Amino acid sequence: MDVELYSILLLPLCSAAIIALFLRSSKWGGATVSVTSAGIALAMAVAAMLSDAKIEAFESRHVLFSLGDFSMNFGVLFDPAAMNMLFVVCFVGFLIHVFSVGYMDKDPCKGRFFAGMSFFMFSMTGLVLSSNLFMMFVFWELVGFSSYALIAHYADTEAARAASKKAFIVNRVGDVGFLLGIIFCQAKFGTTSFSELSQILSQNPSQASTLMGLLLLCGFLGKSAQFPLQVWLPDAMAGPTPVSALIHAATMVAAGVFMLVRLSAVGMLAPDVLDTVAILCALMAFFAGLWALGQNDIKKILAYSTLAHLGLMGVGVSLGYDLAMYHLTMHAFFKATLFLVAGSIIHACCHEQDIYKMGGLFRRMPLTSFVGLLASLSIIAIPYFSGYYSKEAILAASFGKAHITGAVFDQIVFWLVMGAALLTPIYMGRLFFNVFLGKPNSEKAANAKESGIFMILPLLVLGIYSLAGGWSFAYDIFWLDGKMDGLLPSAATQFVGNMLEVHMPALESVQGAGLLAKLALSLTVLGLLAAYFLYGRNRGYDTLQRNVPILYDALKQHGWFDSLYDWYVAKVQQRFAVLLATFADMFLIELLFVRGIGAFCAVIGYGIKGLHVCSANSQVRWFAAGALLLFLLFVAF
Amino acid sequence: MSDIINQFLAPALMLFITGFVGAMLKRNLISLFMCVELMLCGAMLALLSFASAYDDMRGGVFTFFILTIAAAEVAVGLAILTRLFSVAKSVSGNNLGNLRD
Amino acid sequence: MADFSYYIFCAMLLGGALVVLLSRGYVNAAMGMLCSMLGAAGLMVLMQCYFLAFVMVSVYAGSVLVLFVFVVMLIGDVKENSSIWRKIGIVGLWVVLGAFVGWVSPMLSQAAAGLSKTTEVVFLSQAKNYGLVLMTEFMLPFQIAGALLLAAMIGVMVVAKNPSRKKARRELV
Repeated sequence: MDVELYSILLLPLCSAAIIALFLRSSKWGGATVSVTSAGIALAMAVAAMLSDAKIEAFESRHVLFSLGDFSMNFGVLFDPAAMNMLFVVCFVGFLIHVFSVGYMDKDPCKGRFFAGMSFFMFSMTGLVLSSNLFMMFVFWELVGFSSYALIAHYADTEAARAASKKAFIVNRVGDVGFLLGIIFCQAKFGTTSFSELSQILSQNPSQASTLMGLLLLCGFLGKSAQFPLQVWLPDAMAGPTPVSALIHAATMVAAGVFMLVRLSAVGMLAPDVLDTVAILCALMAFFAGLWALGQNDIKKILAYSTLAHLGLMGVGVSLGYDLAMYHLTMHAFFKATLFLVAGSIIHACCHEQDIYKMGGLFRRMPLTSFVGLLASLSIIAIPYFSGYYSKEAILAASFGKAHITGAVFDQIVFWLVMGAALLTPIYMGRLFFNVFLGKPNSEKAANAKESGIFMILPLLVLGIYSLAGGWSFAYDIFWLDGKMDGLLPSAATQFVGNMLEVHMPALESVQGAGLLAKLALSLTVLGLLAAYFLYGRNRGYDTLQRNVPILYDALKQHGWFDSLYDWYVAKVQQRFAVLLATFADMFLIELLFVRGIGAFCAVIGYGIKGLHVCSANSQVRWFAAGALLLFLLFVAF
Repeated sequence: MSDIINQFLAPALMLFITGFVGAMLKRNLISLFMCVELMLCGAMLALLSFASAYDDMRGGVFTFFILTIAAAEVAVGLAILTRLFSVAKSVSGNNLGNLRD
Repeated sequence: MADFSYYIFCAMLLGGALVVLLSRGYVNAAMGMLCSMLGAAGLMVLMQCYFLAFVMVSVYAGSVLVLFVFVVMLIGDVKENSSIWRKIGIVGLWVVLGAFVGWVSPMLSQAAAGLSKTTEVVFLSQAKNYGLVLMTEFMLPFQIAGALLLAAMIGVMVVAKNPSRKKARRELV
């Protein structure tokens, strides 16, 4: 088991190294190596999960170095949560690798791209498999670096360069809090290993400190782009679409959720922290949905949708970490599908990304559109699609909590989640009606053709998963000797499945749960109809933009966060930096201290020199003074 | 006794002090040298004043030696000053601190 | 009468010293020093050290001062320009210090007078005593002084030697 896990981890790293060193300018060499490594990693992951139906957690540990009491361990923890996440990462990752072969066919810098993708796979699997918080932090940063490298793939555009810097820096801001939390944890508990923490905290649950939880939360806020650090994700769409699909939809941004799920399962998150998560993420889910209505770029709409669903996952963490993991898995499937559909369309329309310049693509790209339909129905939460199960679970849990505790706080969270659930069909409908239906609104859309095999195949597979993926969790469909549960290995589903068996009956027994489900469904249909009448019917322009431009512009500002941060950096931080540079550094340190010491020594030197370098008369006087001094000493003693 | 001593000690001290002030304040080196000689002379007189009061020979002999040394010293010092003058063309002590900066 | 000559000699001594202090050129200073030496010799006579007075005049005034005058002849007289204020300042300083001496000196003599005399009384007034003492008790210092004089002579010859003759001889060869 050790060998398999380490090779899943290291194979992409070797692939990245080989591509970076030897295959950068080769036409298809980099792609071949990268896709092969992703495929082998997936095969080994599935094999590891299929080797035994009910795998207990497997852990191994190697000490990297130790300083006194502290030792930095490198180890893998292959427990059900990791299995779930690993399957998602490897499966979606492999399919996106195949997709990129088709998408990047005309790109001149393929080698660099595939090296980055392989390195990302390495970092992400490392993050998933790591057994302690320090290791996780190392891979956290590596994932951030991969994101930085991949967003800046189109390095000659200013937007891409700025976006990659922004992503990295905003992530870093969150990581400061994260690292402080980890250090706090190490100081308090003496270990950061998840299994040991689980043991410690199961004995004494009240030891989890709120401050530590809040600090660790900062990492989540940065990586998963929640308030107030969400500004980087929309800009990150400047990278190639496969990157957006893999990193900024399915896996990397979900790493924050995964971290919270791990910590919550261990017991490290105090109730206050969970409440903070709930309110921040509920607000995000609602507002991101609103802001999606102010965007015309297909990728940006999907980016805001990702923000909203990450918010939903955060709310899920506060309600029960299995719900968050459930939604993470489902979201990975349908969001990756949606991004790949968008990529296929963009590729076919020669990099046209404005939805109001597309249209009528259902006729021209039938397979892509069909998959797009599947994924859209999934995200809107139509029954029996995969998105339905997880979103309904979260909605029901939120309703249940508000009903049971009756606190205003929980009710606010519930209504915000309902609002997010209502907004999803509106913006997705807006996207779908304008992209696929109606008539083409531009030359490029009119000339679109169906994409090649490399792009279609992953799309179809993921489309099937976004339809049927949820069935593995909701129903028990065991086959292959009980080792496969529906479309996923049962090892991967057992983390969520076990908890759901307990959770769901409780949720369904809450008073009014049935009514809630019907209400949610009717709201979905209402939303679709509203989207059709507001945005559909082949207008070719945005209704809001034309009729109520103030509202449209306000939504486009996405909460004025960017303006606020720009102002802060320009006015406050820059001035402080200049103050530090000129006053503290140049004046105080350089002038006063460094040169000052030199000047002081020089002054002493001059003084002493003056004693010796002087005229003959002065030397006579000094001689007399010395003689007198000696005489006085002689007399005194 | 103390009067006898004081009678000759006072001028000796005065001479010494004159020589000392001159050595401090004179600008050219030959005058400075002369003031040093004055100091020596004053010392000799002081020594003799005590010696004659006590009728002790050792004071006198020491004065003798001081005279000898003073003569030798003047000879060597003036030789050096002469050589200095031929090189530096001046015997003003103010400019003569020639250690390299 | 002893008083009168005492004051004359004191005046010569201190007057000469003042001239050395205040004079502008070397020759004036040398003359002042001569006067001072003669005054010193006179005081020595009053102290009844006749031999030493004689040696003083012949060595100090006779050779040392003559050396000074020779060197002044070689170098040439210079006229220092010092202002009258500087001279007044120096004289003032001298007066102050003189007062100080007038205050210190009786104290010193009082302290010295309390010391006991040595048993052996040898008169300084007689020249033969100097010879006796030099040859017996102070033999070593005597010889050392002789060696020192020799060294001084050789040193003077080396310092005063003209190096350009050696260079000229080298260039010939």
